Amino acid sequence: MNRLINLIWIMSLMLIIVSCSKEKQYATADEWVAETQLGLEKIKVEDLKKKIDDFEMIYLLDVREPNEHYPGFIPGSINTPGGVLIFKMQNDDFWESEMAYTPQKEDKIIVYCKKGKRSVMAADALKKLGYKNVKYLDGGFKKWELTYPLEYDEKLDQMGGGSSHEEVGGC
Amino acid sequence: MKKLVIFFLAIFLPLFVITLLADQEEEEEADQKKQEIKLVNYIRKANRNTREIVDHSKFEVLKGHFENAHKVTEACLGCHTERHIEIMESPHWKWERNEVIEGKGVITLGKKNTLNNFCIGISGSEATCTRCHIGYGWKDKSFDFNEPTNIDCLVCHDQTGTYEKEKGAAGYPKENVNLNYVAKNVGSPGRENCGVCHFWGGGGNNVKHGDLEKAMIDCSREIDVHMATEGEDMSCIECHRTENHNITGKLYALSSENKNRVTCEQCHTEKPHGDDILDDHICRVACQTCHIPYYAKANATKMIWDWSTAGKLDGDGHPKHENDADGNHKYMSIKGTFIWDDHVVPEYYWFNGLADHQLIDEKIESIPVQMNSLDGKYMDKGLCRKTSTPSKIWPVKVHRGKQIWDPVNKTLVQPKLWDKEEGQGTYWNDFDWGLAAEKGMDYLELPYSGEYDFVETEMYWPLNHQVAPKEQSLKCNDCHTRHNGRLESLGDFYLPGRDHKAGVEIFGIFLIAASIIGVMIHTVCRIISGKKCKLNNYTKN
Repeated sequence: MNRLINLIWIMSLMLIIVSCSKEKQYATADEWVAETQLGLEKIKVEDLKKKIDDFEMIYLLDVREPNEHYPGFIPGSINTPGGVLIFKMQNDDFWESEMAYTPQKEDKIIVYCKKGKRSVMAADALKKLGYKNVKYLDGGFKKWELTYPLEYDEKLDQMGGGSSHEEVGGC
Repeated sequence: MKKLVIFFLAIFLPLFVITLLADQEEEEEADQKKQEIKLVNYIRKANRNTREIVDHSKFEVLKGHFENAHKVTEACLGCHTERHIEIMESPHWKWERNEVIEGKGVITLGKKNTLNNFCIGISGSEATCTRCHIGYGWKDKSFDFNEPTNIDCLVCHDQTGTYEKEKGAAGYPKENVNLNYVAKNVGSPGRENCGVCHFWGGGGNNVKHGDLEKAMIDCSREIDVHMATEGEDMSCIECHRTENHNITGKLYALSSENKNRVTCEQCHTEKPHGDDILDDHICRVACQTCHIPYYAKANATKMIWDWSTAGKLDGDGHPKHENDADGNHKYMSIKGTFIWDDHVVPEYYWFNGLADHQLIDEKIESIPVQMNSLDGKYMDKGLCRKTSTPSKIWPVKVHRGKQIWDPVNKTLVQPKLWDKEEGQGTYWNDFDWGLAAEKGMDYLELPYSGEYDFVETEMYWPLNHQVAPKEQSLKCNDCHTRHNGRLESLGDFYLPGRDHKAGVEIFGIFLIAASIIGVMIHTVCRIISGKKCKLNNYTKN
């Protein structure tokens, strides 16, 4: 009888372990982002502006794609698209080309994207890589430009043409 | 005893089962009722008669060659006599109407004379702005509003999709339009007819409204549940019901009174949910608040327009334009800097159906200038003198701008923006704000000090379109939540779930603490008097 009870205990334990070890799956990307951001720190655009104005030492990373970055980005930010971010972090050549030191695990890092979803996943990836002071920008670049419409840099020359003379707009 | 039990079981068991089943049926019926949308005064797509009533191609008068657009109108009015009278009384023709504004009396208000914080105003630039007028030839103040053949019937009634007005031609059609072909193919206005102006207001798709744009010509349920091509496929005039060319519905950018409105209730009734709690919300929450959770769902809308940066030319002295990451204009020399956004969460305001406007000759008293302002507050429960209906919470697009003003006279300024040729002092040609302001104010015969600057402005656009499917509507906890709720900015009332009162909370904590202390005192008493305790006695035994 005791052996039977022990067997049931072992089977139950194994069942629990198997259930727990199964990786959680999400119905939608938004659900995944919502759960991921719970474990992350965010920063408001007003606080980021103050850090920039105070010349605080931060790595400001724009995880949007280059064609989204060049037309307008937060001054001082470096374009590290989400797909290559984790591979760039320890790539000395990349940081040298950006005229920056390779980020250390204790450095302050703020990531942003268009509206704040991609940056959550990027911040999560950086934390998993061991970076301890990572935040994402709440509302992303869209919130930044709605708050500070004229505070942006651009690299139109990178887009192969710059501004256009084509007649547009007007009523 | 056994017989008695059997007797009771025989009586009550079937009753119990019947009651359970009946409850279940009622629940199913209630669920079914909830699923069915209760509609009145509306013909569903399946039951609509789409048969053409009149075949205009058979009319002799339309078979001839038309020398010009005026001749087409003449032919239309030949059969549709007296219709021009209806048209000429309408705001679509006059671009103004009399509105009563509290404290200001009767004001003549409309596109003709009211400024906005997009393209500012039409005065002095009529020939380009009136591409959206239902007439021919409004190029300046001399336009004859009493000449019936100046009416453009085709822009609203064309069914071919080939009719198009020329840019900068005072409302005349493009030369390549086949007037004969269009005149023979006319009918009730479709979305394309309304959309050609209402989707493109402000100089581009979805610039102004945020909830009206070209994607709605052929859209999915997710964009607009009413207009979905695969759904009810409703045209504009199915809600904006029209009689004698008087189109219901109005825009609070230019209107002030609570009249001639289109409402959800006209089809959905005042109790559409089949749920008393949800239906009760209608007293103070507009349907749009829950059912338009986002706007600009297909293409972005303009959120900020800063005119103060306009005028930067490239190295060769040519005007330039630059796009943002999504391909929307970010900068234009003629207009300044823009910020666009898509899938925008509305801002929420109390609104009782009345609006006020900053008129061009009025002194500016506060900054940001409220180009229009929506009246309403929580305490306005429908018993005040202003309206008989209570203020409701409405979703609103707020467009923020920075535009030219006269800091000496403290008034807004109408600059002259457009002309066909350079050297006429128009800003879009000559890039001289001072001259453009002088020309524009002179045209309106209004005072201008000769000094200009740029002032922050705000404009409020209540949202009505891009209604989401019910499964995407707001849920209870989007508002009734402690942090980051949709209604966080509306602080003048108590919202359950969001707000808390310190007194009530302290009283609750006090009750819990008192209960715990009571239990502890009781326990101590029991321990002290342990020997007499029944439990102890029982344990000992």
